[in-house]
This record gives sequence, structure tokens and C-alpha cells, in this order.
Amino acid sequence: MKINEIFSAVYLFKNNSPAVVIGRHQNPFLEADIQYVDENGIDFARRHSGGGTVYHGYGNLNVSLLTTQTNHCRPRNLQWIAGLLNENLGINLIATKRDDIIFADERKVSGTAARIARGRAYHHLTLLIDEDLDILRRTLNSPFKNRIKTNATQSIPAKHVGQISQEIQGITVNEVKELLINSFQKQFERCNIINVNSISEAVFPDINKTQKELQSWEWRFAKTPQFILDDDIQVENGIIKVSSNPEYQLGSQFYPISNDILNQQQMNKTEHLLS
Amino acid sequence: MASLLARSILFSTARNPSFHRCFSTALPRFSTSSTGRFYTRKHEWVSIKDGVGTVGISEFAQESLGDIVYVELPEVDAELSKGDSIGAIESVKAASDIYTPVSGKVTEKNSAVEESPALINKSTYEKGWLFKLKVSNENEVEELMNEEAYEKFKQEEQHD
Repeated sequence: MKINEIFSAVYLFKNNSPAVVIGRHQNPFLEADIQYVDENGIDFARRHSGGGTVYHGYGNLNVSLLTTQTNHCRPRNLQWIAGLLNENLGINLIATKRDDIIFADERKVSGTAARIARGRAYHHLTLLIDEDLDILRRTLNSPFKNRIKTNATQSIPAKHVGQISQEIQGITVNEVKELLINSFQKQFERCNIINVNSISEAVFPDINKTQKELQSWEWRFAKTPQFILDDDIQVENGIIKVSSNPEYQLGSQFYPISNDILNQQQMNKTEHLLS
Repeated sequence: MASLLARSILFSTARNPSFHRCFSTALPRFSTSSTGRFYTRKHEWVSIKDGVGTVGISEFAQESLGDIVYVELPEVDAELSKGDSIGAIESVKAASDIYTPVSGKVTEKNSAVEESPALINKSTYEKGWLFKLKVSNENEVEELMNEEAYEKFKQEEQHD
């Protein structure tokens, strides 16, 4: 089935195991605590689209709207979703100019990103429903904040993070998913709803190649725009090019060393400056 | 005054189908452009001088994208084929692919826009160029649109 030729749009709804996902041009070490992520079985990915960093686990619903470039309109999609949830759940969500969805008191429940290529586009967003917000805050708290100089795009952290279960106790990801699917279905003359349980090359040609690319060290880490850590360690294409710190060997792949040593050095530096 | 006159004549003849039938084959082919820039349907431009092409995105593209926050450019010495996806521009959360208008080997990338992507918004045709390449086949510009054809193309696109 050639989806793009028969249908004008494809909408994806998915839920997945815990992961930190950074935008295409971001620095993972600046955006997240990569060591904590690795030590706790949380996945780390870099997406093709732009935008900032998110943490999402089983309490989050990912929505992806694939259309032609002409029909790509993020504000319209967000107002649709917010309006729908407000109408059905009796809550008050607002789609902002920044393409976020927030409660009136600025608690952010959804972030957006997009990709445009070859006359097609997708708008994808997270929707926090019933997530562990403590883990979310922990993973997105990088020990390297303020210590990295780079022109990578940087996330603008929300003042407050919120989720739908704060307003509607006991609501589940599945309930929200069904709500959205039912409403979207009504918008179109013809709509097929398909459960995708496995991804095969037969149904999605070239998917293996894309998956391999996205899982590679090159894409996830080496693609990080060049940066300087602590005014000393220079990293380009994932490799340490300059370093006076013995913990970060020249020529090796950059990876955060133990927090203790880093923090200790930082504290020593600060003490020295203050004395 | 003179330039205004020239523009209005060009515009009216472009609209006149008989003009096209007299002076071009079925596919309009252009080898001159009033600004020296030739455009693709995806809103990139190339300007060739002494075999070196300078590539950028159009004013229209920059306006549609909004504030540009990051530019991903091809590496020097990369061999590109016309139409290849060779980088991306990120603006307000959307990452848009850019395609090369012509084939060739990259000789230079604009480090100024890598450091200050906003240059593309502020100075699209002067300081906001993206990369330069040694053009392998100058005839490829004949398949692109000159300034006048690009104006027409944009108007037609808006009415779709």
C-alpha cells in the first residue's frame, strides 16, 4: 500500500518506553544528564526534526501528523487538539504562539517539533498525560548547564511542567488516544485505522536503513555541533580535539566522566576565583 | 525610472503566450536573469561567476521559515548532484531540507551563517549565502527559473 499516493495525510499515535529525545541540532550533554539516562535504562535519541529536548515514557502520548508541505499548519493542529480535549474533558488547555500546549497557569503539557522535506512535512508533539514528572525533571537536568559554549540550538525549559492527570484523575494514555482518533476520523471522507505492532521492510520500504541511521553513534552523538566544555575541552564530530584534562583523552569519543570529579574541579576553580 | 519600465515590459511579455511560443521551445529555458540569480521550485537560488556557483535561499523562503536558528551546510569537497538534499535550515522548531540547484564540488561554506544564522533573514542575498561550489555543468541553470519566471511562479503557487 503506497500510503502517500492514496491518502492525503497520515496521523500516528504512539506510546513508548522511557526515552530522552533531543532536537536535530542540539547538544545531548547540555540538554540532559546522559550518565543518569544510561545508568537507568532510559533510551536516548536525536530526531530528524528541530526543536528542543523532551523526556517521554509510558505516561506520554506522541502524536505525529504527516501531510503535504502545503497542508502543514502547526497552529491549526494544536488548536484542534487543545479544543478537542477541552470540549471532551472539561479542561482549559491553550495552544500558544510558541507551539506549546499549556494550562492557563502556564503548566506545559505539550511540546512541538517539525520537519519539512521533498514537498512533505510532519508536525509531531508530546502530550503528557500520566507521566513520572520527577524522572522527567531529573533526566533533563544536565550537570553541564552553563559550562558548555556552543551554537547548538538550546531548549527553552518550561517554567512549569504539567499533565492532564493533574486535572482529570485517573485518565489514561489510551483514553486520550481514543478521543483523538475518533475526532480525527470524523474530519475525513475516508479513514483507515491500523494498529502497527511491528515495523517490517515490506510495509515500510527503507525503514531498516533509517532505523540503523538513527541508532548509530554518528547520528546520536557525532552530529552534535562542535562545542567547548569548561573553556578547555573542545569536541568536534563527537571526538575530543583539544583537552588539558587527563580524564578527557585527545582523540577519544566524548562521554561525561563521573559527576564527582567534574563537580570537584568546578568547585576548586570557583574557590580559586573567590580567594 | 528606467528599471521600473523594463520590469513592466518583461512582466507583460511573460504573460503573453505568443511571446513564449516565438522565443522559446516547449520548456522555457533561461540563460540570463536580471539579478544573475536562478531559482528552483524549492526556493533556492544559484548565481554563477567564473564557473563558481554561490547558493542560497530566496527572500520568500526566509520569510516563510521565520527566524532561522541553525544552518547545516555541506562539507567542503563534497560532490553534489543537482536536486540532492545537502543540508537543513532550522527555524522555529521546523527543520527544512535544502537542495542544491546545480551539480558540482563544494569549495566553500559560509561560516558567518553557521555562527549567525539570522544573517539569512537579514541579508538573504548578500551576506546570507550558504555555500559555493565549482559547477560541473553550467547548462543546468537553463532548467531553473530566472528572476521574472520566479516572480510568476511564486504568484501561481499562492493561488493553489
